[in-house]
Amino acid sequence: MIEILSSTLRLATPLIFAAMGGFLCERSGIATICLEGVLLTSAWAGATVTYYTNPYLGVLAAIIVGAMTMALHALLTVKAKADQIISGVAVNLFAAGITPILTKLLFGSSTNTESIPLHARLYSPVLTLLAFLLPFLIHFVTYRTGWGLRLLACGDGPEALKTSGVSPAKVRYWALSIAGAIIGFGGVYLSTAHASQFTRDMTAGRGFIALTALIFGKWRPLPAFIACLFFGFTDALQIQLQSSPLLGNTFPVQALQIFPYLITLLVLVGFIGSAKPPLAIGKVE
Amino acid sequence: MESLNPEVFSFKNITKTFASVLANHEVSFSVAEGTIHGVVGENGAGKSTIMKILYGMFEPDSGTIHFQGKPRSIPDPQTAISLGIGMVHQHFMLVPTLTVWENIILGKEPSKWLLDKASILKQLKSLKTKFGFQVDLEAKIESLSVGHQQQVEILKLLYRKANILILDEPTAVLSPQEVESLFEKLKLLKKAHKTIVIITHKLKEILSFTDSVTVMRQGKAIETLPTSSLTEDSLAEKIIGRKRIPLNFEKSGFEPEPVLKVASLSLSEAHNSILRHISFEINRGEIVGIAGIEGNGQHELIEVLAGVEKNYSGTVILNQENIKELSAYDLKQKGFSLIPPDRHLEGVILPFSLAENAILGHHRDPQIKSGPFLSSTKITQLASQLIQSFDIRPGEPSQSIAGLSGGNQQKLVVARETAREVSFLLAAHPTRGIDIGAIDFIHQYFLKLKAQGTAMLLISSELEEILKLSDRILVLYRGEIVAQVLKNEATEKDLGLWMTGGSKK
Amino acid sequence: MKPHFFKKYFAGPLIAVLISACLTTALLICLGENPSILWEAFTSTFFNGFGLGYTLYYTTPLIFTGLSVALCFHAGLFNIGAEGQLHLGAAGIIALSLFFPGLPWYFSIPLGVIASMLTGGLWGLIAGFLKAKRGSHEVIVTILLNFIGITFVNYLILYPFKNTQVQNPETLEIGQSYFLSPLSDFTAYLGSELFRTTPVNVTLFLSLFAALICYLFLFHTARGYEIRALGQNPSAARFNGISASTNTLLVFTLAGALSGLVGINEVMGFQHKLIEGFSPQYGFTGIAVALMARNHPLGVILAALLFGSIHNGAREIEFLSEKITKEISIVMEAILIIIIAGQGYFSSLVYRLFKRDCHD
Repeated sequence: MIEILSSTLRLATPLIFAAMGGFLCERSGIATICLEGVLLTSAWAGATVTYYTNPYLGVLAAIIVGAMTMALHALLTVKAKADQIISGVAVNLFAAGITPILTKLLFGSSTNTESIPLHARLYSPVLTLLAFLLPFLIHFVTYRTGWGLRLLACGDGPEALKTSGVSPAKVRYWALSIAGAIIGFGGVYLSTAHASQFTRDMTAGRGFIALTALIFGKWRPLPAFIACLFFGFTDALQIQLQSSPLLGNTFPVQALQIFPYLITLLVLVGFIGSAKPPLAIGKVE
Repeated sequence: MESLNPEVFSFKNITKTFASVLANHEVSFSVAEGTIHGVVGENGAGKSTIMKILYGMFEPDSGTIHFQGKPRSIPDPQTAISLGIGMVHQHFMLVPTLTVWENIILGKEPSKWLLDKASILKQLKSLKTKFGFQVDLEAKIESLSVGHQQQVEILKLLYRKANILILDEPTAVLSPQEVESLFEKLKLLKKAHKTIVIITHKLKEILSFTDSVTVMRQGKAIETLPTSSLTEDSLAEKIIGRKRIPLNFEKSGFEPEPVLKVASLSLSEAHNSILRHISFEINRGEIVGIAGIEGNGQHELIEVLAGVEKNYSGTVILNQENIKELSAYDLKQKGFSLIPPDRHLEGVILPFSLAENAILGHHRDPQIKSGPFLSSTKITQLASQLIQSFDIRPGEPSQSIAGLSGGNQQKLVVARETAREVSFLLAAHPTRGIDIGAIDFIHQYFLKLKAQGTAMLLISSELEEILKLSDRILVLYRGEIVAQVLKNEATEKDLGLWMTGGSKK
Repeated sequence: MKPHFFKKYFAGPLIAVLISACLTTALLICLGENPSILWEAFTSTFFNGFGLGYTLYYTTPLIFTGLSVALCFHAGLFNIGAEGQLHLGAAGIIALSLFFPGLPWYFSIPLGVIASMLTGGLWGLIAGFLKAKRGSHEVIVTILLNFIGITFVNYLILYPFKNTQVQNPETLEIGQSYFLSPLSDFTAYLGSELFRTTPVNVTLFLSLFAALICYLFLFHTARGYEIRALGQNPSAARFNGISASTNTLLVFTLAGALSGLVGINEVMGFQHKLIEGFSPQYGFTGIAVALMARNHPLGVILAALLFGSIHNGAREIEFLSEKITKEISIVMEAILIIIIAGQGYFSSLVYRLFKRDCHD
């Protein structure tokens, strides 16, 4: 039982970072299906830089690369006025393509980077603790400060924000870059704390689970946080069952893998409460 | 000219083009401090554009703005705000999900960090009472009436210490009472030495509330003069630029043969009753006008009559047939035609060609098919006929309709909707936002249809249009028909009273 | 060809291809690879029978998914769900064959086509239903349905349909009568070696036929007119008796059915079984295909050919190069999407660049 709980915490950590990043993006009015891609590039950068230098620079690199990847999304959607979903697809593809190419270039294998010895890795509870504080911080900033007011206005009425003398484009650049940095923590956690190296497609849909958690939490930070814990738990349970000698291969773990998506679908279509996205999402100015 | 008050700002030869369309041409005029100044003109005369230039939303191609006597460039709204210029847009710029106080401070928060709600509310409350506003600061915008939302917009400007308030068509969506109360507040503001610029096309408001007027026509500022020197007729003439040809209105009678019978029609949405027991009939060759302020159930009435809203009680009979069983498409094949309220939203499909737009609503007609496929020759032929008979320009059927002027687009809508035998035409705001030439054309055409026996329901926010065309006028207020008068019995004053819930004395 | 037709459908995509070729070249140089292999790989995907065979094999599913996405775009809907729909379609064929392994070919082949369209279409219909009746946003719904569908198909592959004789995660083989002929059979009959040992099969013709049908449907039928009208102006459509919910249901079902057909190429045309992870994201590439084709069904054929060749060329690059892996195709795809999606902005940038030149 304890094992499942601690495993839940570990598995929820990257989800929380990604979901909180996603919260900032979507609340600023930009649809963000590229959480997956941002996690992937920052995981790669974190593992690579940690391998060559130290975990602190590794974290820094992950933050920077995460922010840059998100900035690409911001540039495409805000500046080039590209469709937000299409831009998200492009960023995901770009991340999925460029990381194995760079891995091959640096490490000679396209599937994984060199493994980082335990002593040179990040002490993971620090990141987990950070992940558990983050939703409260984001909640506070969003609903109690001037910055938060602007963020909310940007997502629900960018025109109004603009006539109030604040550029929605600027708010979105900031929101997305900060979001990218936050997701960067999730990425570096995956590749240096949760695992000991970057492997191809190691995010394995976690970006989408985080997005799902955000929707499940009805685009609010604290409920999304709870959803991340919940989905982390189902993941932990699934792993536990998979390795359990009692059940062996007979239990279809797919049933648990489907669970987060299925329950979110039910929430989304209004069978359990109702979830409404920020009003300006998906709209090209 | 207003020797008492010094000039606060002026335009000098401002020219602005949008993608080769000339919006403002060499516009020059000045506004005096502490006055209410009207900017009048037809739709598309360039009134909004010139004021948006002052507010920094557009940059002029040439010309200068003088602010308090000195030339000044205003590249963005932020600069305008810092100069004490504020603007209330025609469509309110408020965030619906945020509260009133949050909307007011947005963009000029006392702190970027922690917001001290108590002290903000205190400050706003004193502002509110000073100018006689009554609006709940903690309500969400989406729960407020239009009039209250407008108050929030004005409070927002006052919070920013605006000295020049620009109001773009402030009365378009207000009831006469709300208009009255708005101008009372504006007078208070004027007393506090604020300058107010009102963009409008409503002559009465100009004449009764402003100190001076600038008349705009086709992008040019024709004249600026004190209001006291104007009469309604002289102002109208200046706006139009010529005397209007009176409509050749021969009141041909109609046959007492009902085409449309509406009996006890009611409609509720989310426990709000939108339409209440509406009953009326329209005879062959009769034009019935519906007067009322927008948002009193017109939209829902149109939806019911057009067959897209089915959750109503009561009956609607068109040509002896209950329309409840008919889809919107079938209805159109049975002699019903609709000129929808908003051309771009409902009338035409902008990326489509003229020909493709010409078959909308009759696209399943076997006459334009060959085998299972639509025949492009037959469709082009049909479109060419419409283009010719309505003189639509440019008239190339394969061209995208987006390239046409509003008047020509509307002509295509009218042409399409009346190309077949029409027994009942529902015309909603048929002349909104189009040039006078097209308006006269469409009005004449309606009378022609009437003579041919078409029954018509005219829904318009322009009382003038209703009075001009209708045989009978119904007044819609809060989803109810509160009055019914024949054309020659109706006065504008009575209608205005009924439209706002008053009763005739 | 009318000049504006060229401008509308060809100029943009051609420029995008040129720019992305330049960017990819630059990327190769940065990575320390000789960019000439790009050209070498590209020519090999067209100018020899083997390369062309594989290119066409990859083109076939991309035509299906490209049409699926494009059809939805016409109705103003974004179908991110092609990936899930094609998984369901492929599983449908396996299920059919497991239940009726010994059907004669004149039953098995049409039924196989129908099964893939039905199961794929059903998955599309769910998305359409949730959009039309519950008002849920189709992008989020189809993302969720992708995960649910793919995980469900993986379950089928690993449990009920599993071939327990082998270690690999794959299903049992379908019956012989379900096999479709590779094109090499035909060319061999004519005495040619074209397409020899490549998996391109008669499904290619099915995909071309599907593109033609889609074109006629969208641009030359009343229903197609309704769908386009709905996509361009939903309120106008509503007032003219064009039902949003009926058309949304129809379009999503058709889109799902089109995606489902990918299973024909994969299962009946080549592998004869279903392998976990068989799709190299055909569904997402379909988005790129539709964008590139400006949603024109016939343009989808050309765009699919382009992406098929990129996909095939990348495998060639991996073979030719010490440094570059086949994922270069995904990067090229991403670059193409970025350029097309931001075309308005990028072209204004170029325009400003030239304008400045004129002034100086």
